[in-house]
Amino acid sequence: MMYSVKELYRPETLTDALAYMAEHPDARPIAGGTDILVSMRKKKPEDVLLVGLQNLQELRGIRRRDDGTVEIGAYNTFTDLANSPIIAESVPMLRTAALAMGGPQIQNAATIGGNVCNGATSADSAPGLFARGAILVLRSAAGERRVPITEFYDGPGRVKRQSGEILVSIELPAYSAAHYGDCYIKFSTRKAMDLALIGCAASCGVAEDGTISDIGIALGVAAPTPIRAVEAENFLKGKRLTADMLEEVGNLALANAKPRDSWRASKAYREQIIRTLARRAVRAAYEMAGGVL
Amino acid sequence: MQTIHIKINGKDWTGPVEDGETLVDMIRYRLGLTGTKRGCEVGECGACTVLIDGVPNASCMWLAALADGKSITTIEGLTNEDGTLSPIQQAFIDAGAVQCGFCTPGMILSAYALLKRNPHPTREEIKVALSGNMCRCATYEQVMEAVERASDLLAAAVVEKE
Amino acid sequence: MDKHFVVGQPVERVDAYDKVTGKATYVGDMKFDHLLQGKILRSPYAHAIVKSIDTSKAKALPGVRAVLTYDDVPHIPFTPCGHPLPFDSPLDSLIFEKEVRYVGDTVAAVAADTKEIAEKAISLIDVEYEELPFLLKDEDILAEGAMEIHKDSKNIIGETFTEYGDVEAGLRDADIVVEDEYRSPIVTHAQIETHISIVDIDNHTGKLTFYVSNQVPTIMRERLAYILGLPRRMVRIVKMTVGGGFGGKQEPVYEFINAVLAQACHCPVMLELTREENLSCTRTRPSHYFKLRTGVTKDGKITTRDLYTIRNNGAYASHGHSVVLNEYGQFEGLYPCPNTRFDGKTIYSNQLIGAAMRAYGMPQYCIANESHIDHIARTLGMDPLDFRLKNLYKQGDKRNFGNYYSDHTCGMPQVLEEGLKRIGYREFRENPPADDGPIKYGIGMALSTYQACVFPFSCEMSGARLMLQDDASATLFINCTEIGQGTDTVMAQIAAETLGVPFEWISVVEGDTDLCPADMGAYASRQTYVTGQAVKKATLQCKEQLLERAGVMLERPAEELDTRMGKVIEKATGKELIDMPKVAENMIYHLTEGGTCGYEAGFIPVENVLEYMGSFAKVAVDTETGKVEVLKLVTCMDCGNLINPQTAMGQLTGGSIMSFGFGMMEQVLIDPKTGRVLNDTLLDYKIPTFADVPDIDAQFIHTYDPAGAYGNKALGEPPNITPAAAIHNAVYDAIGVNIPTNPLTPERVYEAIASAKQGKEA
Repeated sequence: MMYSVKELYRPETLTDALAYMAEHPDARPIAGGTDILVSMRKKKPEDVLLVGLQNLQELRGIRRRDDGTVEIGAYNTFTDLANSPIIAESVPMLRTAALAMGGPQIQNAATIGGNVCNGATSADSAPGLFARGAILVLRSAAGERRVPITEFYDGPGRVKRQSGEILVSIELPAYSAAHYGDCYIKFSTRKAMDLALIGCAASCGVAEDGTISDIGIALGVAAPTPIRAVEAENFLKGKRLTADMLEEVGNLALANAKPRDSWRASKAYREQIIRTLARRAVRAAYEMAGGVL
Repeated sequence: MQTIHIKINGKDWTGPVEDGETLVDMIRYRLGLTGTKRGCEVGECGACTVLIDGVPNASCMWLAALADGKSITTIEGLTNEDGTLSPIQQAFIDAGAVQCGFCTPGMILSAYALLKRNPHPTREEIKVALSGNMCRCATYEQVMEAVERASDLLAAAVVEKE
Repeated sequence: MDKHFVVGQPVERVDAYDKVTGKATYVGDMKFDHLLQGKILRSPYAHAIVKSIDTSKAKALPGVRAVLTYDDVPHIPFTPCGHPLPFDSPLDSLIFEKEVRYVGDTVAAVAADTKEIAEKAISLIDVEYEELPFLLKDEDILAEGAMEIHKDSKNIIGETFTEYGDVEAGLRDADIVVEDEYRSPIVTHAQIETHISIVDIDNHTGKLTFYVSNQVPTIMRERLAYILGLPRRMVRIVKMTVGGGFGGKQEPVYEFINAVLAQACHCPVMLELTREENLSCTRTRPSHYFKLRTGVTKDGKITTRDLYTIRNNGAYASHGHSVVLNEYGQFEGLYPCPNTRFDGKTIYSNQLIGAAMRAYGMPQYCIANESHIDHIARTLGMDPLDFRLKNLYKQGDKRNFGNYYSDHTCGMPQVLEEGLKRIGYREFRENPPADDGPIKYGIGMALSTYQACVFPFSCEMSGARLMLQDDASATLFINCTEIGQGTDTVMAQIAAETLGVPFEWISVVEGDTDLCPADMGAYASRQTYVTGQAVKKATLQCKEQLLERAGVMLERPAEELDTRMGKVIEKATGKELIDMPKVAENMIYHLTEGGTCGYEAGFIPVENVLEYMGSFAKVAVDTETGKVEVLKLVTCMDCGNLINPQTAMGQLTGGSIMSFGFGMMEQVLIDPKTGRVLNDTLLDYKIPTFADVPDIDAQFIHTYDPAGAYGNKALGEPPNITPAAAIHNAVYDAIGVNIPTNPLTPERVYEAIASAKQGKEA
């Protein structure tokens, strides 16, 4: 396949990349390439300008700051996420998500930054990042912008990345509770090489007495963009989880969802899966944080 | 057009590629290494799997220019110069893990990379590591056995060396 | 049964080394000096008239070498169906259509210097279409006064009706009549290598050489010459390594298009389909509808069986109705009874084309029939196993349908015994596992028969030529088609066994119509059964000539001699007398008696036999999501004696997994509003990945059938029949609902559970 690429620019530094993007407002960043090439093959745009992000060290690395914030460089492949001890300790659901995405070849190339900027509601990284209230750090020649991920998605396949901007890193604010647990469940027909029919993430901070101090519940493919299940979160905050409450968690998760009928699944079925996954993910996150039902 | 430098199957290669050229086409047409197959062009079948710095990648999902500076291994790179086979290739033959053969090069490379990083994988680990390589003949049972055999062969070779 | 030396050995496949090193040459790997790339312009509408085509912009594009439309090519109506002569399908197809009948139908084609230019040129062709109404559903297609998709066809491709006994009386007199409807989805082969060919032209003679990825070289030669209006001598088919066939490459699919492009450009043209084309406009196993009615006595004896089936074959007939005839042949394979009726119809519709796919109608018939059998058993309050045991065919029983099958061997009792033991059927029934929260468990089985070739319905000719070399090695020339199933290896084993030489002494030249004798090709699981006999026949003649010379050299009557693993031996004692290479050398280099030794033989079977198979599955169903986990899948297979146990096992486990995909996840979805295929990628057309494969236990049941060259029956397709049906019945067992379709997607299973619950509550 020969794509119609006018120039593939390969900058060595972020500054260099941002300067090029400022000069060429149409230029599109390319990281792992696994989304952009698929889209180019379908839409056949001509004379595309691409900026390869491979060499930008500023986009690499996964760090945990002293305050517990986890900072994930945008150019981390899903394999990087899966292999990171920081992720395994601090946000294990992102490891689950990384290993659930596509297959090994795609995990080895696709980046978390690309996954976010592609704007798909089915993005496997999204529910976890939404649940944890991730902050996106975007840079352009003009400066830096910090955007909560919950405000970044703009519709199916659309995000509020402005022309000239590159997503540099993703920050996950720390949970202060004594105990932490989380869970991502991807529901799909196949066990690999598949899209989520529904994805659900729950993260949970649990105090010594078993009450829930922090809670994030997020859903993929439940609406045109990933969403937080705010009502279910509000219901759980400050409470000890009991088996009886789970039914309500499932129902409340639906309150924020707007699943649609498509040939991949009906609305009614997606609703059933949302209810079921929300129950299961919350329970698993709570139990992982030491909570006992 | 840009000039890139890569290591292909251990040998240095410097040459021009188009900016929009995919790695799989570069490998097949510029380098003439047609053991790398093309099955979907969108990273969904695994037939074009090559190792980039030792890691399995879908070469249809890479622009060739982005592989600049990388070391690439294709199926041709696993065969010794005298034509003898690497343990994983031999194991594929011995286990009957070859049918139509179109997925075989990619499958072998994924298996090779798995054994490099995990010399004694469990069945579950094999399934996961090879889940990006579709085989419509569904030779999966035999591939599983081949990976296990190769694991034993490699372990025996290590013992022998020691 | 004599002792075999090469047959029965898991020898290394003759193509294995090339395939593990990347040296095997598929069509796309061939190198030509100036190879043009072809591309097809396809209809965006399910049904339309092509009013006008303007190719001027496309022709003006630099790098474009030819743009061809209806007006530029022959208009000889043909059927692509890859069956031997005479034509047994309607001649309803053209190279390019003026009336397009499905989304993807061929309108025009381009040859250009590169694929990208060809693609661009396609987008520059302006076509004016007049859209017409289109038909997808059986009931609309068969409605009184329905639009005819092909003129004067009444939308019928073929009909078969046969009745034995008196079915209406049988149903009336039965204690209980159980009725079921079943509909299977459209599925497709999804070969990892998409359809591809290169057509080269000899500009002096005009002779075309087709380098193809195809299962039927002999038939391709006849059919492509016909389509192009050429004498057959002007067509040569060279079959390259094939990256998967499964029936989807058992006919010319688009090769005639690069042929006309090559003729127009006077140079070779490649046509490689994209994955999307492969999934949305090649060939399918189309949707089948079944209505089954069975009359039984109170104590569980089947007295009457009635089947009505519709095959919705799509826009052109291709294999169409002959697939229904295959279901017809196996209708009474397992459950013969006095009153039987088979009523089958094959119809046109405005969707992609149905053709052959591994096991030719049986995978869908098996789920329909075997789930029906379970339903009857449950209605009677009997265990499905006991009900089957009461009605199963036993050797010597009479069949109405399929009365032409020989009855030398029947491994069904052992299939059952072994399968039930391996799945733990009786233990499960005696001690059923308790529900685990929302998880329910179930167990099920499915049985089937399958033929070994298409005798007596269609020409069953296979040829083979063995050329003895001066060292008693030999070259085997066949057009029996290696498509991954291992036939080159198996035929070499048969030649080696028959000649009495080590396996390594045989080399195979295969798949070239200028070099190799005619053979009907890779379908119907026929090759080991039919070509195997041709190879044996040709080889025996070589052996006879060699022994005659050995007799002269040893001064003994040839009748006293035999061969074994490269030696001439004394037949009576097995004593080694002389090396075969010495004899072979003498045969050629003898001063006065020198000559060549090569024989060609054609073989036509005089009987057909049945394989017997069964699958047994255990599943866990998550009742909150409908997700099914196959915990274990056992398949037992009686396909006669195995020529190569290793390649045979590849077919058995591979076929089982392919069937698992059919039962659990595969379906081509068509937008009812446009007729367009919705899921034309491997992301959305879901074939099983490595991670999905359940715990498979595959076993061969040994029989030695005298009809085969070395006790063999047939194997390629049978493994693809019963697994999906066994899983279906296990799910039925777990949730108590017989879902009347496949695949058993989580959504479908959940809906079945939910509506059953609602039904109970109501």
